[in-house]
Amino acid sequence: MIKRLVVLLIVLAMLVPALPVALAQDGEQVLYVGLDVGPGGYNNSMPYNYGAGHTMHIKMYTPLFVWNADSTDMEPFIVESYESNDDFTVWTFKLREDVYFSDGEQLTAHDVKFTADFMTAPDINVENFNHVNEAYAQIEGFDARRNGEADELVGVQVIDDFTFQYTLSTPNPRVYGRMYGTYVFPEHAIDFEPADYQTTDWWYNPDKQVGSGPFVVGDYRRDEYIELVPNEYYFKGKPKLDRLVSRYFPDETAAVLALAAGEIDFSYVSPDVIPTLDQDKFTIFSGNSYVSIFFHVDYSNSPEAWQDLRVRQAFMYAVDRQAIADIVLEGTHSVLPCLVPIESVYTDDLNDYAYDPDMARELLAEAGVDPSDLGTIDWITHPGYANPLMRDAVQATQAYLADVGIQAEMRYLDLPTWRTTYLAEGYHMGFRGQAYPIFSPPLTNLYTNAGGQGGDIIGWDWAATGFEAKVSEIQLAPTFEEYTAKLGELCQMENEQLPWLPMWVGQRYGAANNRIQDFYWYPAGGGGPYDDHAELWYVED
Amino acid sequence: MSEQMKPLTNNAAQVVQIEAKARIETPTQIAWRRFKRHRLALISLIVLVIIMVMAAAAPLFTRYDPNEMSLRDRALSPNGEHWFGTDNLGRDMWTRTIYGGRISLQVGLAAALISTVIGVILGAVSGYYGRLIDMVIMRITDVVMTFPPIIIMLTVAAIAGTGLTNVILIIGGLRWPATTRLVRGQYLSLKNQEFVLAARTMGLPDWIIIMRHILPNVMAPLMANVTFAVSAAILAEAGLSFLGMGIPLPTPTWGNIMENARSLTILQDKPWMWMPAAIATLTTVLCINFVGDGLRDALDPQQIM
Amino acid sequence: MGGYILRRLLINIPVLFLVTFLVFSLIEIAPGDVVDYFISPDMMQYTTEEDIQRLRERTGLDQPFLVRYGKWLGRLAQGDLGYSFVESQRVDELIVAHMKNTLPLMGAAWLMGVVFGISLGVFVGLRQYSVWDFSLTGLSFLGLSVPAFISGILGLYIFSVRLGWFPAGGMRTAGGDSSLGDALYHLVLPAATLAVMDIARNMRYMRFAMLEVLNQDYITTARAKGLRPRLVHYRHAMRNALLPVITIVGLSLPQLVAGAVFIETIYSWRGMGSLYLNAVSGRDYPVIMGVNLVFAVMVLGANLLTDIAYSAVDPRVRFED
Repeated sequence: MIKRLVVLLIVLAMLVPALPVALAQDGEQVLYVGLDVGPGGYNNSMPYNYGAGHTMHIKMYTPLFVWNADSTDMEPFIVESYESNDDFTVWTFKLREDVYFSDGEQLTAHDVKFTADFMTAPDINVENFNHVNEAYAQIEGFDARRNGEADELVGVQVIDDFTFQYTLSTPNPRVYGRMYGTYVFPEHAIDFEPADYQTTDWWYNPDKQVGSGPFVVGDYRRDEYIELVPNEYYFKGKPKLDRLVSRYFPDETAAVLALAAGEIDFSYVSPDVIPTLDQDKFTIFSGNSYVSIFFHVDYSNSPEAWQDLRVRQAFMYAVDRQAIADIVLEGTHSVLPCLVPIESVYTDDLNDYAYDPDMARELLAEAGVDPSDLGTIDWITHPGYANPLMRDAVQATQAYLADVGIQAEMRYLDLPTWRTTYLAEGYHMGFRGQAYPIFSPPLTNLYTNAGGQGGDIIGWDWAATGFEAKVSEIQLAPTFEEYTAKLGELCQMENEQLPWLPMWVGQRYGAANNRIQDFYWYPAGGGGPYDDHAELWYVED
Repeated sequence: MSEQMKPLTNNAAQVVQIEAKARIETPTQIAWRRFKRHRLALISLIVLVIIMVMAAAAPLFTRYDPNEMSLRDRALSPNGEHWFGTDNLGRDMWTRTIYGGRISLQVGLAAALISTVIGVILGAVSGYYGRLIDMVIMRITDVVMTFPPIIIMLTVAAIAGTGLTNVILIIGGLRWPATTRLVRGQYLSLKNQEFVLAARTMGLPDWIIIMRHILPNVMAPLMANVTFAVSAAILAEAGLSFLGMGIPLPTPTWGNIMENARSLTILQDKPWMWMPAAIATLTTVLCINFVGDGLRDALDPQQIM
Repeated sequence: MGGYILRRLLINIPVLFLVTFLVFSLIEIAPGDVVDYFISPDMMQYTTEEDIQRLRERTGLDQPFLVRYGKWLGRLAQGDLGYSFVESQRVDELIVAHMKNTLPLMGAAWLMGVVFGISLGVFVGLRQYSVWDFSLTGLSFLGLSVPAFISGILGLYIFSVRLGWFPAGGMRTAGGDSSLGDALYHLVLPAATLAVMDIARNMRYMRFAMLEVLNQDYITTARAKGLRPRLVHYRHAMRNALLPVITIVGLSLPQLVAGAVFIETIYSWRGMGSLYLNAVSGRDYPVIMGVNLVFAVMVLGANLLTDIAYSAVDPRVRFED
C-alpha cells in the first residue's frame, strides 16, 4: 500500500509541471510587470481617489500637467500653454488640439469643465478627498460647490473649445504645482453619477471604460492583474505593445521572487534585494524618492526636557546618521539637514550635526538633563516605514542613543492604530516619512498650527516660531528663484530650531529585465504622474 | 513489515518478575526507570536542559552583548571570532541566538503550560461528566475558537500594552480550546471502559478517577499537543510583533531572528542570519517531542517494558 | 442521536449571536476606524476636518456602538451583510468571490494533511524507533519550526525561482485564457506549503494513536489468533487508531485558516485570508463581521460533525439525550 502511494505521488509530481501554461502567441508583444507592488500597491484605485497609483492612471488617462522625468520640475502634458494675470489669481490654459479619447472623440475644454464639476459634486463618493482638494480647493466657488449651494464650480470656465480659465480664491504663482493629478474624463462616456464614483464598474469594464492615455482596460481581475490594450487614438502614437499586464502582489518579496523567476519583467524593489539580482539580466532604475524620513516629537506628551533645543541637538549629535546611511542603509539614503529633501535649495551655513557623542553629552549636561530623566522614549512607527531596512536603521539609532544614555523603544503599528495614537498623543516620538515634492511641498500641512501636523497636535507653536510667516512668503514668491531661496531659508530655520529631528532621504529602486526596450521608470512619489512614454515600450528576446 | 515488530507473545516469567519488582517501587520510580531506558528521550532531555541553561545563563556563554552594534563587523559570515557570524548591524548572532532563547523558551513553555492546564481541566471535566457541564464548557470553547486572534491581539495591545506577560497570556489564552476538545474526546471514549467502571464501583472520588486513572491514558495525544503548542507559541511571538505587541526590538527572540529571512538577500546569501534560530527552534521542539515520547512510554499503564 | 443534533443546532444560534456581539465589541475597542485608515497624517496635506466628518457620516461611524450593532443585526436578519468600506462592494459578493478561491486551497491542503499525515503516521507507527521514524519525524518538524510566512517565501524561492517547477504566485496565468490545468498548476505550491504543518500534526497524532492501539489486548488477541499482520494492522489497529485523530482533523480547520492568511499573501492568492487581513488593517467592520460569521459557522459545523463522527465510529462514546 505504501509503495503504491509513493509511486502515485511521484507520478503526480511529474505530471504537474507538464500541464499546459498559457503563453503569449508568436509575434504578439506582451509585457508582464508588477508596476506598483507591495501593501497598498495598485489594485483598484480610481484617479483622484488615492494619493498613489499615478503610475497606472497615466497609462489610461491624461492629466493637465505632469512631473518631469526626474521629478525636479512640472511640465504641461495636454496643456499647450498657460498664462496668468498680474496677481496670479486668474489663469488661462490652452489645450493641445490633437488629444483624442479611445473611442475617437476629441478631448476639449468642455471635458475639463465637466471633470471639475463632477469631482467637486457635494455627493462625490470618494474615500480620500486629498487629491480632489489638491486639484480644486484653491479655485473660487469650491466651498459653495462642495456644500451643494452651487450647481457648478464657478472658478473653472470654458473660453472656447480648447481654452479654459481657473479663477483662484487666493493667489498662487505656481498653480500648476497642484494640477499634476488633474486627469480629464470623457463627458460623453461617463454614464454614472458622482455618488457612484467608487462603486460603478465603469473604471475596469472593457466595454465601458474610455480614456485618453496610451492604453485602455482590456481585462481586469481584482487582486490579480490588470491587462491593458492600446488606445489607437493616443496623441503620442499607438503603443507598440499589444498587451501590458500588471500583476498585483500584496507582498513585495513575492514580486521580487516573480521577477527573479522571470514571470514579470519589472518590479519595484527594495534596496536590499538589488545585490541578489543578476547584474547582466536586469537594469536598475533609481532616483530620489523626495520622501523625508524623520522623528517628530510630541511636545505635549513627552518629558519637558525635549522642549530644550540643546536636548534635541544632543539627539542629533548622538546618532551617526551618516554611518547609518552609508552602512546600514547601504548607501541608498543620504542625511537630511532639515525636512526639505531638495539639495539645490540648501544654504551654505547649515549645521550637518556630524556624529559627536561627546558634544551630545556636553549639551545634555549644559541643559541640566540626565539621560535617565528622559525615561524610555516611546517611539511609534508608521507602517510604511517598518520594512526590514528601516527596522535596522531604527535599531542602529537606538544603539547610538543608548551610548549616551538615552533609552528608546519602538512600537510598530498598523495604519488606524498609528493615526489614533498620533491624535491621542499616546507617544513621545513618531518615526515616519513625509512626501516632499519640490512643486507641492506640504507646507501648510507641516508648518502651520492649523495644518495636519498642527501645533495643537504636537504642541509646537508654528506661528510664534516664525514658520507660518515663512510659509506664506514661500507660497507667494512670484518667481522660481525667490521660491527656492525662501525654501532654503525655511530649511535653515528648521535646521536651527529643530522642531523635528530630520534623518534621511532615500533613493528608491526598480529593476527591469533587459528584454524590455525603450523602458523608462522613475520612483516618483505616488507614481508621479510623469510621462514614462509607455507607448514606446516593447519586448525583445 | 512485521519483522521489526516486538515479540508478539510476552514471556510469562518476565512479566511476573517485572510485576514483583514493581511492587516495591513507587509509580514515579517506575516511570523514571522506564524513561531512562528510552535512550533518545534521555538524550533529548539532556539537550533540552542544556538549551535552557544556556538561555538562562546566556551571559556566561558569550563575551558579547546581544544588542551591541559594531558597524565595522557587519554581516560577517561565521568565523572564529563570531561563531555564528554577525547580522546587518554587526551584532553577534551566537549571542543573539542564545539570548533569544530566553524569551522564546519562556513564551513557548509558559504559553504551552497555560493552554495545556486549562485544556486538560476543562476537557477532562467536560468529557467525564458529560451532559449539561459538557454542553456549557463546549459552547464556551466554541466561542473562543471562533474568535479572530488578530483583532484580539490588536485590542489587547491597545488596552493592556505590550510585554512578555501579555504575550504569554494571549498565546496561551487563545490555544486552550484545541487542547480542551482533544482531551474531552479521549475522556468521552475512556470513561465507559472497564477500568473506570471498576474504579467507580470501588467508590473512588471523581477527581482521583479523572486524574489518576484516565489522565495517563490521555498522555499520548496530550504530549503531541504540548509539542505543537510550544512550537506554535515560539512562532506566534514573532507574528505578534507585526501587530505592534510582540517583544520590542532590539531584544532578540528566535521568532524575530527568523523574520530576517523576509529579506531575499538574507534568505539567499546570508543563511547565518536566520538559520540558527530556526535550528534552535527545531531542536527544542524535537527534543520536547522525544521527551514526550519517552514520557508517554514511561507513564503508559498498559505498556509493559 | 437525532435529538442531540437538533439540540446542538439550536444551541449554536445563541452561540453565534454571542460571537457576533463579542467580535463587534472587539472591533470597537481596537484602536482606530476605517476613516483613520483612509486618512493618514502624511497624506492629509489638503484634507480638512469637514472631509473627515463627511466620511464618518457616510460610513455611519458617527453613530453610537449599540445602534450600529443593532443595524448590523437587523440587516443580517434580512440576509444582508452590508457593504465593504474599503473594497466598495457588497460583503456577501466579496465573501463568495474569495471563498471560491480559498476552498480549493484549503481543501487541497486539508486533503493532503489527512492522506499523507495519516498514512505516514501509520507507516512510522508500525516502525517505532526505526530510521524511518526518526527521519520522517525530523522532517515533519521542519515545517513546524519555521513561521508560515518564511516557509511560503522558501517554497517560492526553491520551487519557483531556483527549480522553476511552479509559477511564482498568482491563481492563474495573468492576462491569458485560463484552463483547469493552469489553475491546478498554480494551486500545487501554495496548497503544499499550507499542508506541511497539517501533515506533520496528523502524522504525529496518528503515530501515537497507532502505538497506543498496538498495545491493546484485542490486537494481541488478534495476533494470537494467527491473523495476518497486514490484516491486524490495517483492519483492526488503524481503524481504532483513527478515532482520536478525528478530533485533530476536525480541529485543523481554524489552524488552516490562520495559516492561509500568510500563504495567501505571499502567493498573491485572492482568498478569505487576505480579504480578512485587509479588512482588519482597514477596520472594515462589515467585512470583518461577515468573514467572522462564515468562519464561526464553519468552525461550529466542523465541531458538530467531529462530535457526530466520533460517536458514530466509536461505540464507547454515547451522547446522552
